[in-house]
Amino acid sequence: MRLHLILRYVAFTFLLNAAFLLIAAIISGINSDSAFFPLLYSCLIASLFGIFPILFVPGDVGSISDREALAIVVYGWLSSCLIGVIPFVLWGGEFTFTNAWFESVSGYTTTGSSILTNIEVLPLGLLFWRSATHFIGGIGIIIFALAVLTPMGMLGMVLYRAEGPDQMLRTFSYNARRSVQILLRVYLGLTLLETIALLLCGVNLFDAVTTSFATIATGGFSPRNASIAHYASSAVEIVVMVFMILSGINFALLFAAISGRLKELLQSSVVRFYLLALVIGIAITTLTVHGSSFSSWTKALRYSAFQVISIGTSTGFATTDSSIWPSLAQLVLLFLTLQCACAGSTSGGIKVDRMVFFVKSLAKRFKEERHPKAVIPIRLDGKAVDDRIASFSVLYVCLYVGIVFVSAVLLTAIGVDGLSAFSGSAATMGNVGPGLGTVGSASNFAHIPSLGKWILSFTMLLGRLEIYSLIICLIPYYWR
Amino acid sequence: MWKKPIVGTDKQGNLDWYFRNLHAKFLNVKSAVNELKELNEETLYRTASDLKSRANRTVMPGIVAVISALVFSLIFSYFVNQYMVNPINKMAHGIEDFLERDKTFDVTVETKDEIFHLSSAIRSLCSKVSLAERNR
Repeated sequence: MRLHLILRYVAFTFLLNAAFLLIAAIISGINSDSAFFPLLYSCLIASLFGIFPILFVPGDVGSISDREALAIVVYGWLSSCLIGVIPFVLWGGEFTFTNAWFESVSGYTTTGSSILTNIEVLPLGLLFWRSATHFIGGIGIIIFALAVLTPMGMLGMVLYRAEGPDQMLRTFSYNARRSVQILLRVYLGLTLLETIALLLCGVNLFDAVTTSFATIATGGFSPRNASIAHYASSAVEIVVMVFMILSGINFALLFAAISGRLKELLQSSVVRFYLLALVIGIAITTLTVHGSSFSSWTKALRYSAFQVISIGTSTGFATTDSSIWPSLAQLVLLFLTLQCACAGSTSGGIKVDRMVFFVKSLAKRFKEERHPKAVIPIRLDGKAVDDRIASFSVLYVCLYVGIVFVSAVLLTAIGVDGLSAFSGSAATMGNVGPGLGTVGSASNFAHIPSLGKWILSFTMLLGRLEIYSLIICLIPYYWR
Repeated sequence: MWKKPIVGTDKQGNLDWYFRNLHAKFLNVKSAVNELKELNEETLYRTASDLKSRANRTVMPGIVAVISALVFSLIFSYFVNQYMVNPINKMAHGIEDFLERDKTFDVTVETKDEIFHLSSAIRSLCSKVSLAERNR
């Protein structure tokens, strides 16, 4: 492992952060608000750390090994989280170091859980920076998943190839750099489209941009206390719902659809499973909340659809307080908090792909019980899938749920109630945002004890970096 | 001289008179005192929070600057070591090996800076010396 090389590439993430900090400082300067100097100061620090290694380390460093690439992304992420803390702690207010770290990690991991009790008192520059952490995090996910994990052959972690090698070959020529370029175009295109759509719905430019940042990155930070409910507009809700659904689909398939191969998107069994889960979720919650929480079917459908899509894509926006919904509706939301959307998107959670493999592996096991000598392959879209990928998925699901459970136990040990602890852990691990109970969609994480915030921050990072990547990079053996 | 107003009069111990004439006023005064107390507490709390926040804002840039400087100096020393001290040490060992053990000077420098030029110059010098030795 060449440390100087890792530092050179991590420096680029500092420069990306510095660019967004500068934009935030300009916004702050134009509005003459109190965040100008904290943002400018942070921008200078980020620039200094960014420029220095690039000046020192020569550009022609040869090829980057897989381990180095993984370390670049993981440490790039961690150092971005640290840079993200600086403007918050310098500005003050509710941001103690722990709170600022929680907010920053929540932003970069596109979780969207917040410690802020009053978001609207934040100056515009700082609000922009808060949303920008989502946007940068979203870019990070694309680079991490495609440029690092896919060439490393860690398919079990990302499962892009599970969509079918042919499609990948046709779509990306299996070239990581080209893939990143294409996916970034999809990412930026979606952000731009949503911004325009929200502007057309009458949302102001600042809110449209920040909401788009949060939607496409499946983050959930809104510049408003009441989240999307603030706009009280069904048009805005529909636009956000459409883009949340799109952001939960594998970007490779979205690119294929844009390129005129819509059939690939429609025929993908993972996408079908994802959409079916959302439809069933909406149906159950609508039936459950009608009568108990909403008197009319239209309202029940409107609010249920938004909450289910928001949680099922790991975005975390809210139009109502789902923590007071009947238990069945809450359980549906909890299931979606664990599952989330497709691999290859900016979504978090276990991911639909792994759930499909999990279900297929169970079915395979039952068949093997009946026919012990039979060779039963696991098929996806008509193609046999490597057994290792399927077994890795099952292992991942178990490990994932295990971590959520351990995190919940630790939280209850420090005084958080059971429902909030479990749903909060699941929501942060899945990078969803709001949980249930006292950390529901109309609440925040401000009341969680400091130690709990550190535990939840760690689960956010574990979830975002697909568990193994973070653990591998933190083990000293990896550096030898 | 202060004279006690009701002591020794028929009003002393007269509850009817008290409730009729004084109790309402007493309650008014009590609530006014409470309001004043709350106002004071609120103002004190606000002032203290404001002071705390200001102190935080004053101290925090210093803390961030100190931590940044520490990290920066660590990275700086790493780079100086990696790109200046190490190549010079390697060159010194290379020259020693060349002089004492007659080994070829073979030190590679990653950068294309003055140290690289120095290394190339030493390499040329060593090859010329070797050639001259062989021709002698």
